[in-house]
Amino acid sequence: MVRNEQDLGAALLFIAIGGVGLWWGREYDTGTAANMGPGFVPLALSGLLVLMGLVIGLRACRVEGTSIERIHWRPVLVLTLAMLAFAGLIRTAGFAPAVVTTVIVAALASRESRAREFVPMSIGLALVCVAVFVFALRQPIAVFGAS
Amino acid sequence: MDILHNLSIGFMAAASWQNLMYCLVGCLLGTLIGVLPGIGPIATIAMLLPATYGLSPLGALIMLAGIYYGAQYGGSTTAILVNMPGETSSVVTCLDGYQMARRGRAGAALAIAALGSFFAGCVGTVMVAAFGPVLAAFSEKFTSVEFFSLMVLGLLSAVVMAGGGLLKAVAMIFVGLLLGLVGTDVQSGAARYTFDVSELWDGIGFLPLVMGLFGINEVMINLEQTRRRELLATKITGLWPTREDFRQAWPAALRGTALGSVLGILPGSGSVLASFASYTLEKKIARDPARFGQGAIEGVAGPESANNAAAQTSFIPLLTLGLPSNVVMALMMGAMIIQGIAPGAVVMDKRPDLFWGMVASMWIGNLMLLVINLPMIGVWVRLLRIPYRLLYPCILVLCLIGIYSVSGSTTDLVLTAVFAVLGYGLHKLGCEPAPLVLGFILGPSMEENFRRSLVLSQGDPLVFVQRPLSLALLVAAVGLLAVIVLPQIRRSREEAFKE
Repeated sequence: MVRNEQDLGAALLFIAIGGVGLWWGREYDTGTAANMGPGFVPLALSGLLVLMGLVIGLRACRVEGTSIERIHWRPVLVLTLAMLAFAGLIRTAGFAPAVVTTVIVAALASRESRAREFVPMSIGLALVCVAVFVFALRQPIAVFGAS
Repeated sequence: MDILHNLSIGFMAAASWQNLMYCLVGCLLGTLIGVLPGIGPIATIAMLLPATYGLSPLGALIMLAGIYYGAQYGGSTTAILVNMPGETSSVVTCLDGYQMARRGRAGAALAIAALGSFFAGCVGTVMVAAFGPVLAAFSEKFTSVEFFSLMVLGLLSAVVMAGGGLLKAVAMIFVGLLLGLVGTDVQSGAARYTFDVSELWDGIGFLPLVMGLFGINEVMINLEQTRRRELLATKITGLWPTREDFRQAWPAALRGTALGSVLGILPGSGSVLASFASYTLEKKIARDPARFGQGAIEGVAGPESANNAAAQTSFIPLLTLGLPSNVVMALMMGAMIIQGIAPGAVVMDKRPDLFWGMVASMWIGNLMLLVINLPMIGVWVRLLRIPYRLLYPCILVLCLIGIYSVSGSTTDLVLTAVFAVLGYGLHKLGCEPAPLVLGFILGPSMEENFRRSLVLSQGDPLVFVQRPLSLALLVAAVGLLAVIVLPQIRRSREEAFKE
């Protein structure tokens, strides 16, 4: 019986993070208390995290709490895509195309966006950013093409 | 007079043309971004961090302090004009500030907020100058054992102010600590949790973490709300408060300043507590409490002063003990570490120009805010009218460029995306990101002090309770926990968050 969706979700997340910490760090050297190896603190923390996750999870099944609000996938997915597009384009296509693409993709995250607004804006912003970052601040980024 | 001598060192360092410029630019940028709708002070500071990277350490600190004050002031401006608190500490300002604005008295409210903040800032600066050295001297007796216990106390008290469940907040600290340990272990050289990505050898970047968790995450959350912003239709007439306003506001500002200065020093989020406490106090001692919520000027003057005084004095634990008491201070600490400065008593000893220069620049920054903001309110109001659909793509791009221009690494951009999504998930699960960031920033030094303590004690964990100072700190931490768990205080804490 789940009574507190939020806490249960959080508990699962904590257990997952602690679990990754324990699993990925399973071969780290813990050393002794007087002379700790690199693994001691991370493994202890991961273990504690799993433990806390279990406690929070158990409590979530007993004590009434908040349910998870509706998740709006569109902004999350579209913005993530926009960020990844920027990461992928900045080295390969150049600064200006990266900015234009990112702005256009990001604009799609909102239903209120209008193409006649955000397309010119993306170009304007790219011009401003190139002027500021490449010409004024002399960042070593190619405006077009690979860098 | 020692303080005067020290402050003169500070003003000499801070008052160079260059540094004054940095201070001005910081204040302007901070207010500019902070006043944009839907961007709170924390996101503002995170977004503007890259701007300080190329500067000298003192220049960077001065600019950051300017950004901080600007962002805070921008937050109060949006609170008063559009009833949108950028952060919890300006929630109270909304109550009466927005009501004043609706009656066409936005100018007076903004001016009183600025004047009260300036006064509080002056007092706060003096407090930092007076108490900083005392605490720093105290901390000179600290060994790694005491530092570890101090960090435990600091982290736990920060949890007290986080919304949501206590257990979740503590778990979030653990997540932060764990994330802070990613990278090469300083003592053994072993790579930890780098997942075979060479860019992670130096650890997870501070910028991707805070930009993802605060800047971009905030955009995602804002896009969910289709709620229309109520923009003030009434024109702002008469910037200057009347004599009657002054008569009512100054005692409130005075009380707020006193309250805020004291609460700000305490670890944990002082400024939120300060502004709530000040509002409650003003309401309680007012002759006619019914005026509150209807545009009472004391309800703006008190909390705004308290909030700013606390913001100022919360620098004390950071600059003297290296202990960030809230997220903003964690951001400051992150910026200092990137500049190669480990905040703490050592800075005051070895680089007095840096410490006192920053203290002096706090005062200069507050003065600049007053000078630039009062005439520029009209510009800020116009900025508030920018629709969010045009704003957020620009915010996103600027965040990304900022990150890339600092590290030149696409891995950091991907990490930003990861943290933004994580932040959104945490938001849905009712977990505050603040404890995570505090844990992240303290993680490495906490581990180091922990390991060093146990080397000193030859593996005996009891060392933390055997040394009297350390014991006192840990007892304080446990006491604090007990206090939160006690039902009565818990209830009033929940009430405070509900408002």
